[in-house]
Amino acid sequence: MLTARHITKRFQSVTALSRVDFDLKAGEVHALFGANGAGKSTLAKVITGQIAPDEGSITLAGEAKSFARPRDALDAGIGIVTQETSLASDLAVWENIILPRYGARGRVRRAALKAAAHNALAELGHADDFDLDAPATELSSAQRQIVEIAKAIALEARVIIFDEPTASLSPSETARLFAIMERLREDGRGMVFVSHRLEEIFTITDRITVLRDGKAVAQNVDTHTLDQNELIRLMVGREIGTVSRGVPVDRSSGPLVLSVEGLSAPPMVRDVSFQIHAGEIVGLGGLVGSGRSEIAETLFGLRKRTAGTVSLFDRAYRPTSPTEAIRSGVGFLAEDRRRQSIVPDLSVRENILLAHLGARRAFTRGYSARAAKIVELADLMELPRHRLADDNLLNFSGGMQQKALIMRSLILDPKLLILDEPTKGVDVGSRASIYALLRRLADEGLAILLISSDFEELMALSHRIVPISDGRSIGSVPTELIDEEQLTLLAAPRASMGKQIAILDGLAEAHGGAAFWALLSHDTVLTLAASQSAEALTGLGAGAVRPYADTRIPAALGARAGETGPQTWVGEADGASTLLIPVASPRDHDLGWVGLTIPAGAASPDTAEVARMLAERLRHDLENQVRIKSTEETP
Amino acid sequence: MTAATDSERGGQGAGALVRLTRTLEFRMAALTLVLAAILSVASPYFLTTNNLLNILDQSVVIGIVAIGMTFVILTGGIDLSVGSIAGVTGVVLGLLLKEVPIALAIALAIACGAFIGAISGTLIAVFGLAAFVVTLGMMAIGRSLAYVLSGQQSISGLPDGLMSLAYDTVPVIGLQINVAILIGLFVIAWFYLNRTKGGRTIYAVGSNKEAARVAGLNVTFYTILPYVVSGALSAVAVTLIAAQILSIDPLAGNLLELDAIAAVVIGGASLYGGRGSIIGTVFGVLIMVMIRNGMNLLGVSPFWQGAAIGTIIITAVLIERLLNRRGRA
Repeated sequence: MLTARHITKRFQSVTALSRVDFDLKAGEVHALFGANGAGKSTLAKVITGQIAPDEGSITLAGEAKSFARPRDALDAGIGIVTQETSLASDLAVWENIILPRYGARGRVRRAALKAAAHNALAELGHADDFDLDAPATELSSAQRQIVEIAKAIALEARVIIFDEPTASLSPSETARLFAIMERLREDGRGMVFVSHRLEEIFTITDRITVLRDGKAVAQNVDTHTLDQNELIRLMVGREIGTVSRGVPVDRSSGPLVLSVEGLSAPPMVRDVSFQIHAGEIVGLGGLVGSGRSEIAETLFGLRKRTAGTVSLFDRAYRPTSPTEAIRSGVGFLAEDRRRQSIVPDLSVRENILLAHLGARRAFTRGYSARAAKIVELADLMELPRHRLADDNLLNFSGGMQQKALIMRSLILDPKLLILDEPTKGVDVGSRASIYALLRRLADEGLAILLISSDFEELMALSHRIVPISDGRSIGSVPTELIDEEQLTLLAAPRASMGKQIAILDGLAEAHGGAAFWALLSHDTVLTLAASQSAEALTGLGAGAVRPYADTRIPAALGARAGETGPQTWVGEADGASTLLIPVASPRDHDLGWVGLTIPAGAASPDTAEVARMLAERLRHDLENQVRIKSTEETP
Repeated sequence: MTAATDSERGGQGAGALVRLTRTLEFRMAALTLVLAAILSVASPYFLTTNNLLNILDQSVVIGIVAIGMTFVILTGGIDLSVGSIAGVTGVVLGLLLKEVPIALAIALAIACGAFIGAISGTLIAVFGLAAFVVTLGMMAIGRSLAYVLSGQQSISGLPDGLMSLAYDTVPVIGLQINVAILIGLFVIAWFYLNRTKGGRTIYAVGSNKEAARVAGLNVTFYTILPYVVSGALSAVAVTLIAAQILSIDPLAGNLLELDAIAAVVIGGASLYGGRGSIIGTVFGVLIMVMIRNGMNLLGVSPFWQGAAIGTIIITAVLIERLLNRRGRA
């Protein structure tokens, strides 16, 4: 339905697009994939009429089109949904949805427009999730995106471009977005999906066009004919290892660098405790909105803390400003580069020297003393020396910007480096070199606190993970003990954990014992959730990570049966007995064990009866998102 | 990419020269020279020593205030109160001169200007009020106080010793003292803004306040400081006005803020902060003064001069914007 031929666009001497062909069928999701600066967004902008191509033609439903301005593309039925949404914050939800119609000629009726807004949301299946009269400021970023999509629907757009729509979404929000896209696909609309997240490309798209340096290196290829490595090779033009996990190393024996105990900075940070040793990378595993960034900001003196003790090298550490934090030897890479890090009017070199300036007490700027160090770091980072003199850091690619900003901290020889989303908006090629850099820094003894929404990345880099949920830390887990899905469970917001705790409480109450849900591996138990009575009876509390021997039910944990064998009660030395039932996700991914412990002297309930009750509850309360692994098929 | 490697191969010297011609300061200098050339053709009197000295003399007051204004505008702020601060500190100076030695009176007047600036700066930096509003209020307050303190009358009969600031020359160099003060202040301001921690912080704060804060810079202090500098320099400027006529009027410095802002903006500073330079301001002041001077020489009606200056300000900013757009796209 949409065809673009030989699209060429030059910006001064740079050719952003060179004779790119692209076509979109009705009822398909077509991926535009490529590294940063490959021309994805430029092509999307050409299609939506935001920039005019120098050469090439666009045909829509067989008709040649030439868009002079975005309005023309809108009128032709092409809508765009971007990562930074363009809603008018003070207008109501419904006004935002029908906003483009305000630009159209003719009189409009308020009631009719409002109904149109409602219909657009209804078509997405989200009519009930929005108060049409609420101002757009009150929406979460995921909700804003849905409103953006509704905006395109209200315009009866047949073609919708999604420009990196998932960048700031949590996994569950992304799943919801994909559900909407499926719906639009069935409806026969054509969608262009711009992204550099591989797994999303494979999940949602039908065909793919890969751009590299403004040229299409693969055009309109069926997605399922490619695999991950091929795609990466197409994108960067060479093979690179994807994120591979390092050999599990225990670095927790090194000297203690940072110790956080009961840190609180309401409303986002409630109760956080963890430690970082020299040479250790500790990952904060939480979803967007869990308070991860706020923990980092509190540790860096950007937020006021209300409770808790933090010590750095065994000395009380109470920064009230970033200046104090930097002077104490802490470096910080903030999440939002454009807003929190880049100073556009200073040269690249001065940007790198900014934290040096912040830490400096003298009157003069003292740049020359750092000159040698900058060159040394630039070489280490593979940042070309002559680019240090560039006068605008914004002209750098995302990866280069990030390297320059990491240099900003490293130039002061920090003892602790806090990195918030270090690879956000960074292409795969640069990612690999940032990973290598972080591993190398840790090997040299730097303590690193890492935050990443990309759990694969988080787990590949971190030695230990501290799951964060609703501003609370849940223990501290050596990375090799868990996988991504288990971490997602641990980091699930308390609201959804509430149902699970209720199930455990119900189970415990019905049988007069204690119930818990735990992951078991390497003779260590990691408790995800527990009934109220569990701590006293089993020695397991939510979030605790303990060797079997340190619990009150070592025999049962140690003797846990094979995954398919029948479950039986196992007695402890003190007479208590425990039943362990394995649970899994709908895709049969191991989600640990649900345990029921009965105190000494009480009669053990029938195994099948307990399993039946649990299965019933899981089906009813959790809609089978978690189910019993083996007994489900057996009875 | 190719452009960068080309200029590297093409030798450092040529590259540096090309880079120089791209700078704002270079364009301003060129504009000043072109303007001077036009005026010297238009009026035979323009290029005489007397007239050139006259231009320098007329630059003193605007120039000194424009230095403070440059500091403020670099942080993304604006100071509308400079003219009124000049008025009130002038009156304070006039009253003090009757009681205390000249040097002490001047020092106290400058401290008074700095204090008023500190109040504005604190309201802006600590309480987050808009600079435009705070300094607009301070402008009204300052002028009002000037009238109240002076009893609505000029204070005349100031001590003769003050005159040496305006009419004596510095030994050896031969420059008038007030011109020497102007040049000295420009040099100090250039050094401060380019070579010190505080100066670079002012640029960073104006360019991206949040990033400056995260990098550990003292955003609050360096947001206040420019208003203190601006207030103090307004007092310096009015001192030099008083030295010329040995009398001070409560209306002194009226509309000075407009000339100062115009000079800074013509000098290429961005009102959004972060961009601009003290050298640009030097040329901005010279251009302003030369245009005034030229129009007087050519006998242009004073009533038309406002229209001419306004047009030039808008044109200068428009050209700068067009050049920047091309450079940044």
